[in-house]
Amino acid sequence: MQYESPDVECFTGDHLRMLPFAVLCVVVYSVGMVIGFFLVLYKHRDSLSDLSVKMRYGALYRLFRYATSVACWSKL
Amino acid sequence: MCIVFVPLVLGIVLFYKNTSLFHLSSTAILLDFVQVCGLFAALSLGWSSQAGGYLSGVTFFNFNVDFVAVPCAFGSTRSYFNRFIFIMVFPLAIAAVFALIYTGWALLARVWPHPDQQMGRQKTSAFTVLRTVATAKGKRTKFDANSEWSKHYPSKVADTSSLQSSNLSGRDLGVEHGQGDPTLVIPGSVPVSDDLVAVSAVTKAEVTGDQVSKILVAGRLNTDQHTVDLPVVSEVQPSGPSSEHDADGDPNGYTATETVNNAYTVSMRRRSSVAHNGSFLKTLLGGHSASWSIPCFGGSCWVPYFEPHKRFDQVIDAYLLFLTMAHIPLSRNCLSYFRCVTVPDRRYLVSAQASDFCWDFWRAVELTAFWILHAVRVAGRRVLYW
Repeated sequence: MQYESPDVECFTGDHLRMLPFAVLCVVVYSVGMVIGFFLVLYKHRDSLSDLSVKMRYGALYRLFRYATSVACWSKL
Repeated sequence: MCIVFVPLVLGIVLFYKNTSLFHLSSTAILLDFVQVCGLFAALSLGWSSQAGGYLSGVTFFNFNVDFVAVPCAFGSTRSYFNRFIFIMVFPLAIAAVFALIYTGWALLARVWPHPDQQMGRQKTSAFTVLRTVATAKGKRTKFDANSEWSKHYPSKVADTSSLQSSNLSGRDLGVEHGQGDPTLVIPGSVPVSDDLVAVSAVTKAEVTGDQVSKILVAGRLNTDQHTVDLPVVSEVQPSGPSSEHDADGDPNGYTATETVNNAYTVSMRRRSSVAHNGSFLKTLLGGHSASWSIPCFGGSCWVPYFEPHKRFDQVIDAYLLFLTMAHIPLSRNCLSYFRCVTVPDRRYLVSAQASDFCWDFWRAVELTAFWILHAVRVAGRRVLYW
């Protein structure tokens, strides 16, 4: 996005005023969401194979294959 | 574009038509793929015009506001900062929409409640019972629906021996005259509930090579004034019936259709306990028959049965799915706020600190953050399974 607005100067003027909001967005979206996903999955770590958990949180771990991953990690 | 949008729209339609894990996964994986493709559009690798067009097109799914020409539609979004805010608050707007739908439905259900809800009845669904039966017997080509039904509803039994009558009309059979064979009835004692139509027998003519599946049901019709035991028989073709049954002048029932575990396509007519004139939406849209022309606001219309916990769960599921798919584009967009660049042939237009250090530093931060987050996500899956 930034390279499409070369008239914006970094860390001055409006860019500096918007900096707290941008930092907040980084905290929420880049860090907070991933941590949130981790906590949710950790909370349901014993019931990940349940249908209700799969339907709600399956998008976060459906690509994981237990047998394949254990086999790969056991070789290390 | 068609390569992307057609499968996507198809996946979404299938997802809502049959919310199975398969469709959920396929839709999510397709969106993930499209989003990753969109990330390549930012790389200056000399894409051909076709590839460039494709990549720029799929950036729509990465919350590319420019793609939908929002700056043209709203003058205020021409500013970079307005566009940045627009994208960053987009998840909040989605949450607001979901909340509006949920609360709106709840309020409408209070004003125009479903007849069953108004009477304090639990929502009953033959659809669910049948799915349970089919799950238990999914691998079989034939099962005894009578005994399965009696496990769920052992208290009430109706004698269906009279169903062997060969002079049942097409209306009783739920099909038009000449469209089905009304004589195939398996007699027996069939348990029924108050307002559910019970499964009497299910056959699958795989042995004979005939692809016609038939489900014969018997039930009891309740009205406000009296209760009538009557042999309601319905027959279903594999292609699945539609709402023809509702449009044939009988607004008191509707038909649910389900394909269950590669064996049966069945349809069940559920008899409502109270006569009414049609759903809120059908009435709002003008209805399909003269009986639905009664004004909706006269107390004769209703909104679909509102189940607070179930609908709340659906809203949460949908929003979590959205967040799962949106967190990569959102992260990329908010990190791009710190991506400062320089223009060599001009003065520093972008930033006083927009040196190579700024560019390289924030680019490195962005890439490192993505790799760390990706590693945490992958490792998290493995750790959680241990």
